[in-house]
Amino acid sequence: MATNTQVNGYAKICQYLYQVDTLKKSAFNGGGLDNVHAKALYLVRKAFDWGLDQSISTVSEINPSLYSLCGTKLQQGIAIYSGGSGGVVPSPSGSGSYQPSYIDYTVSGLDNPNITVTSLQNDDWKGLMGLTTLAVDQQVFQLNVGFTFSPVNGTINFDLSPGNIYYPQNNSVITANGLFKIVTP
Amino acid sequence: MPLTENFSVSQSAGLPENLTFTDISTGSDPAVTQRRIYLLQSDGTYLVPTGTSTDYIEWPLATNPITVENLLSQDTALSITVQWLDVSNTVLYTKTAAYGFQAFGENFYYGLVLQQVPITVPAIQQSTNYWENLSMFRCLLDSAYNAITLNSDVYAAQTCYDADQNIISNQQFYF
Repeated sequence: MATNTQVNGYAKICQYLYQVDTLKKSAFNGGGLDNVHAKALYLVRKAFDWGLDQSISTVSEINPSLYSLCGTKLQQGIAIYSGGSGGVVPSPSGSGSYQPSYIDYTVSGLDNPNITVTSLQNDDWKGLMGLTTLAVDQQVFQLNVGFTFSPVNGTINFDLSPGNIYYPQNNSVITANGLFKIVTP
Repeated sequence: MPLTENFSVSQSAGLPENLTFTDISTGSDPAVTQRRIYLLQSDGTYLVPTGTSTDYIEWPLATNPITVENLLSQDTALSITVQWLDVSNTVLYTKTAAYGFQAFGENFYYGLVLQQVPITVPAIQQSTNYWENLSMFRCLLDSAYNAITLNSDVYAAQTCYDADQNIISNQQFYF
């Protein structure tokens, strides 16, 4: 069971987290479902504060009530209270991963044995180091089976040998799949 | 070394009607022979214990801290002045500060929240407008606190305290 001091700390943090949540939802999503949670936490916590400050003997009876009010923010509150942070926005470099919805590529070399697909943006391809499959207009191709990917310049080559009956056209939508490394462009 | 005058005042949850004054001045001045406390209320009158004929409370130099009993009956905002005087009643040092004493309200508020804990039928928080009125009461206490600490506004604080006292006195209509 958490101590009174711990619960008071959790409650302060969770109140803040709920408040931020509420403000964000209000601003961007037409209002939050849980917009009274921060207020309820504050109202109960102020009584708890007074009980702690004045060493009132019954203050521990409020402890479970306040603890449960921390609700879904409790684990985050505990982590922050215990010396962690509120979380960080991943830097666009390092070892994180992301999932691009589609890649803006241009298709060339239709008259060559292989089709070359080149990134429109100079360094977009650097994000594709974890590429495993490509979906071209919803047709899925496996890396090194239906296509190859050059980690040097980012070009994608589709093999037009017999059996590969589908290949990208100039207006194709190419969707990449895989655990992509975030690398510094 | 001259006296640098200062004092503090406290109120406790257990005995909210009492105020305890502590002289926290530094230095000393042998000319000081007496000390007085003035408790100016928002209505312009001085608050003194029953039976006191002066506007002030004598605070003997030998008594520090001093507890003045049965002074308050509800939350009260006061402009408190402490004077340090010489033998001929000349004020040598004076210090004034605004205080809000809200232990009555905080105790009542604490009691309200504490009543949420046991599962009773019906639970207090299910009663009509419980959260709204609890919130209003908290708002009054916080507003009074802000009026004192941010603005030393005894009048505004007392207005809030009177409103919270009205809720306490008529709690059966609110909770």
